[in-house]
Amino acid sequence: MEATREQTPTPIIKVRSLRKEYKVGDEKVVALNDINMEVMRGEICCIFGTSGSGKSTLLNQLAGMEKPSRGDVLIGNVPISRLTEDRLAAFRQKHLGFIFQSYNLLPFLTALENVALPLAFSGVSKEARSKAAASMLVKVGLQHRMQHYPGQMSGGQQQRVGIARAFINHPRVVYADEPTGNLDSQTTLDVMDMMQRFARKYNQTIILVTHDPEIRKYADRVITLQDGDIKSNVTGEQIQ
Amino acid sequence: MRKSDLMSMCLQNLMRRKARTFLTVLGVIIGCCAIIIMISIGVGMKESQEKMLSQMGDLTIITVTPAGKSKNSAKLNDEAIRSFKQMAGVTLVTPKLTPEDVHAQIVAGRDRRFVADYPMIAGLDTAAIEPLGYRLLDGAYPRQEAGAALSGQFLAYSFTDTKRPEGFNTVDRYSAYNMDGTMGELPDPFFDMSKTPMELVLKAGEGNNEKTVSIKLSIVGQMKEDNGKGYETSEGLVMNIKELSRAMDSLRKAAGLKKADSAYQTVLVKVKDISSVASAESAIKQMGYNTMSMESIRKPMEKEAQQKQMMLGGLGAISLIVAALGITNTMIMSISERTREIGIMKALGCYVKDVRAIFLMEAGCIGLIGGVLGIVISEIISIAMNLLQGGAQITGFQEALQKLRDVGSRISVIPPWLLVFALIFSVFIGVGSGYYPANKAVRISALEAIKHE
Repeated sequence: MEATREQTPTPIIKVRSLRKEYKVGDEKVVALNDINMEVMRGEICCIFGTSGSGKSTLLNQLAGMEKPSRGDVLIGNVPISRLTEDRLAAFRQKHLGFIFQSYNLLPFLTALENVALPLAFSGVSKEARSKAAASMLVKVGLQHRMQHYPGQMSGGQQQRVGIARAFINHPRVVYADEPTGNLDSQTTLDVMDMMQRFARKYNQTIILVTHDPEIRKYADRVITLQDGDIKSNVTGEQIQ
Repeated sequence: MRKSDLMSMCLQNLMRRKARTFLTVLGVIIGCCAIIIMISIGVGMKESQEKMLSQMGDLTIITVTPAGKSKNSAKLNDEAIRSFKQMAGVTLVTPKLTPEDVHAQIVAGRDRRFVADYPMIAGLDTAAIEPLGYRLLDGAYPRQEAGAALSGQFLAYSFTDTKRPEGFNTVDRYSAYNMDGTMGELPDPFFDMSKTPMELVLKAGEGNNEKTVSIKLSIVGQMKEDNGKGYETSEGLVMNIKELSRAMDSLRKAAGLKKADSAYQTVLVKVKDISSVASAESAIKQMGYNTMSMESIRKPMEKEAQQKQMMLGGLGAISLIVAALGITNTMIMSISERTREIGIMKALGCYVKDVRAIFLMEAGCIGLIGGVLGIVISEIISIAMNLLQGGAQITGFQEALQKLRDVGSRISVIPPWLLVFALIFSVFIGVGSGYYPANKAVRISALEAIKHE
């Protein structure tokens, strides 16, 4: 099975004629023009671009945070751009994970509770989710920080909590929005190594948005955006 | 999310901003206390009103009089009495005869030496006297014996001695009252009624045409004065209606007056309890009679008390509504502070209904905590009000307890329903005022989590 999957990669994200425009005052601003792309299962896909290129908008579309003006986003075969809010919430609980630039841990919850939060939303009992969260925190090397609050941890530690939280429900796709934007270079490498390790180990897909060219070397696929269009979509050897 | 997780999340959120939560809860406490205390004062007023009414007279007796003197108006005759008797809840019906168009006198002693002019004479069915609530100080209720009568408590003092000069011919019973209103030793009347022959003299006509009829009386008992019953219990006489009406008839005949028709001027109807009064009274009214009962006093008083209660409760409700605005305000503040958090929760897959539940619960909790504390504090305030009223000193625990149980003189009465109502109302106000903020929270997009500061 492993072998066949590697030989014929299956697309997990399919984007079809995606267009997103905003109204700013009376003017129409086209953020995404006409995006067609696929991301394979187990890929680390980097969406690269300068600010204003539309990369954040694309991430929002891929994660189902906003409705597109036109076109479809399919994850597996689920058109997440067309789900109702409740279905989308259920879909996120089961299949999606998020890593944020500013970590976005809830300040009144301990590291353990933060990691367990997605499981709480899907109604897992406190004991079961604490156990799962504890093992995730061990995996990110924070076994000594479980009862600490976000305010008591460094940025790198907080982001590791964020990673543990994103991976706890064994999602199909993890979205990472500038995950290393607030970190120094050494911590950046640690965090990226960790994300890559998780993705490889569980054959999970990561969508990574960044403007840092250094990050590209962790990716299997790099999609470069410019003014709402895909400028390049390269994989494997071509990246470097 | 599980209920327990929602609950702990909601409590955590409330605990995060202790000062703000405390102030909001304080608003609810004040509102809740205002409602409870205001309504409890209303209930206390009603209680003392009922006590006062029951002292004024028997609440279950309806006095029936004919509506008019014309031929067409309904006659208050034996037939009417029979139909009253058949009404639901009616236990007793008796006509009451008071001689009005004749001059009544009670005379006593040898040569009619002692004379009481215009005493209040009431003729009743002898069997009805006791059930109607006439109480005796002495003697027994009259049966059918001729001339048997009950004297009012102070009838003996309404006699004048015709053999004594003006100014010395009466015994003043009011001299027994002390300056402070209490009653001391009563002076002895001129004679002992139970041992002195007495006669009721009825006179009609003027000058030479004056005709008299007299009935020999024997006083079999002395009634206790009761202003709720009538003046006959004080300086008057209660006797068999048949004897009295027979005497009246023969007097009218002798004086050439029109023979009285068979109608009565007054009929007393007694019902089994207060709740039967209104229905019996309206049935009698429908038959075409005038009625009078404590109900016609009680009803407007009750209505007024209710209005007062509503007004007081309304004043209290205003403060609770102000508190509700406080809750809404607090929740809106906290939602705008937590916009990002809500976005994060949504991005992580929190259901919309759970977001709403968290905020409604927070608001409801503020209402609940405020309600519970409000109840406790109002109980304390109510007890304090009752103990301290009238500036009385409380020396012992027993005395305090007795004061709190003194129905009718308590200022503030908190019935159990009021506590339940206040609690439910507080929670309701809390949840209600959380509704708008919760909907605001629900509309926050998951995108808020991604936005960069």
